[in-house]
Amino acid sequence: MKNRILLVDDEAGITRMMRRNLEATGRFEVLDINNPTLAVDTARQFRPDLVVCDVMMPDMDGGAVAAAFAEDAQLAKVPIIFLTAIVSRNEVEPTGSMIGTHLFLAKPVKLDELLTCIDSQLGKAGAGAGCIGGVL
Amino acid sequence: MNSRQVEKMLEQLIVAAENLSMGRYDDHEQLFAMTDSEHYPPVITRFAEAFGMMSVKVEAREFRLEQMIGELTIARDELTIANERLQQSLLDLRQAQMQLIQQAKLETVGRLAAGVAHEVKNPLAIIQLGVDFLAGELKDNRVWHETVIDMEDAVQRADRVIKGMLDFSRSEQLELQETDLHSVIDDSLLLVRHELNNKDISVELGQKVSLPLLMLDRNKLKQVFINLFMNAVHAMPEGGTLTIAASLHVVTPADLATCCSSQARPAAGNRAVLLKIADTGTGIQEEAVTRLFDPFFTTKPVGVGTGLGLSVTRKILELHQAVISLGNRKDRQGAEAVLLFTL
Repeated sequence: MKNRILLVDDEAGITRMMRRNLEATGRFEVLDINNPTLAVDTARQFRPDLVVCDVMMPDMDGGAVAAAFAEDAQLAKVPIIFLTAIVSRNEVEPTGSMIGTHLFLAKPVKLDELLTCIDSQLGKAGAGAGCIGGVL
Repeated sequence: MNSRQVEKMLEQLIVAAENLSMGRYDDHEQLFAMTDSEHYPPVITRFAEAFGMMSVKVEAREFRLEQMIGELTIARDELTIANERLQQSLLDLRQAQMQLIQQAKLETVGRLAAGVAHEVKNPLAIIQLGVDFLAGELKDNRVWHETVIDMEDAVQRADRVIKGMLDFSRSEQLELQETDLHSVIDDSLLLVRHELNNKDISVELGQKVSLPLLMLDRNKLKQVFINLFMNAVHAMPEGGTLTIAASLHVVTPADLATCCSSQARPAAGNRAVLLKIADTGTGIQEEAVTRLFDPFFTTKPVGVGTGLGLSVTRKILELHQAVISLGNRKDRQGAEAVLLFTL
C-alpha cells in the first residue's frame, strides 16, 4: 500500500517537481497544495502519512501549519518535514536537522536526501515515535 | 704726544677693526684702557671709546642673533615634527574613512546576501528536483544523462555561492565559550582529512605548547580554519605540506605593519596567541595581495571558489578581536596565514 504524502509550498514549481519525483518511485500517493491556509482541511480529507512543508510562506508560515496540525486530533501524529531556504545545506545533517521536534531540510534538497528523510520519518511514525506536537 | 704714539694707537684700532670684522671681540678692554690714557689727544680717546662701545654692541647683537637663530631652529624642528604628526593624522583619518566605507560596503553585502540567498534558493530547488527527475528518466541515454549531470553540477555550484553568502550575512552572531584552540584545529583537520589525503598533502603540527583558553565561537572558528585549510589544499594540487603552529607571542610593531588595516588591531606589547598556517603551494600573486579579503574576489578557477571564504574568515576573526594577515612565505615557496588572538 502506497504511503500518502501531502506537499505544502507556495512555490508551485517546487511542489510539482517533488510530486513528479515521489510518484516516479512508485511508492507514494502524492497531493500538493500551494495555499498553506488550506493545509489542515486538505489533510483531513487526504489523510497523509507525512507532510512536507515549506517554512516561509505568505498568509501562514510553516510553524503555524505545524501548530494547527498539533491541535487537530486527527492530524496531531502526522510527521512533518520542513523545507527551508533560510539555512544552507552544510548547516543541516545529511539526514536532516531538527526545528523543535520537527525534521528540516535545506533547499535546494536533493531527491535522495528527501527520500532518506521521508523513509526515516515514516519508519518512526510506524514505530509510534513520530515527531508530534512540536512548534517552530 | 708724538706722532709715533698716535700711529701705534691707530694701528691698534685697525687691528681691532679687522678682528671685529672677523667676529672676534677680544679687544674691548685694550680699547677702553686707551681711553683712560692721558697720553692721547681727546679726539683719539673718544674715537677709541666709541669704537669699543660699537664693538660691545655688535657682539651683544650677534649674541642675540645667534640666540634667535637657535630659537628659530628649535621652532622649525617643532614645526617639522608637528607637520609629520599632521601628515600621520591625515593618513590615519583617510585609513579610518576607508575602513568605514569598507565596513558599510560589507554590511550592505551582508544584508543583500541574506535576501538574495533566500530568493535564489527556491528557484534553485525547482531546478534541482527537475534535474533529479530527468536524471531518472534519461539514465539510459548517455548524452542526455551527461547533460543532466552537468546541470546538477551547476546547481551545486550555485548552491555553494549561496552558502557563502549566507555564511557572510550570519557571521556576526557569535556563541562564545572558553575554548582550547588546539582542539578546534584538530576538529577542523578531521573535517578536511579526506581532501588532504586525496591531494597527498601531509600535515606538520608544531609543538603543542600550552595555551590559555580563548573566548571563541567554536563552530565559527572551525569555519575559519576549514576555509584556510581548503585554500591551502587548492594551492597544492600536486600535493605538499600544510604546517600549523601555535605559540604565545608579544605583539610587535612588525606584526602591526601587516595587519594594520584591521579594525581589531592589537597594540604593540599586547600578549597574544600566534597561529601560523603555511602551505608549500603556488603562493599569492602580488596583484592579488590587496584584494584577498574583498567579497567575491577569487583567484581560483570558475566553480572552485565563491570569493567569500576569506572575507567571511576575516569578519569572524575580527568579531573575536583577532586579526589575520596573508602573504607569501619567506623561507620557501608557498603562502602563510598569520593569525593573532589578543589575550
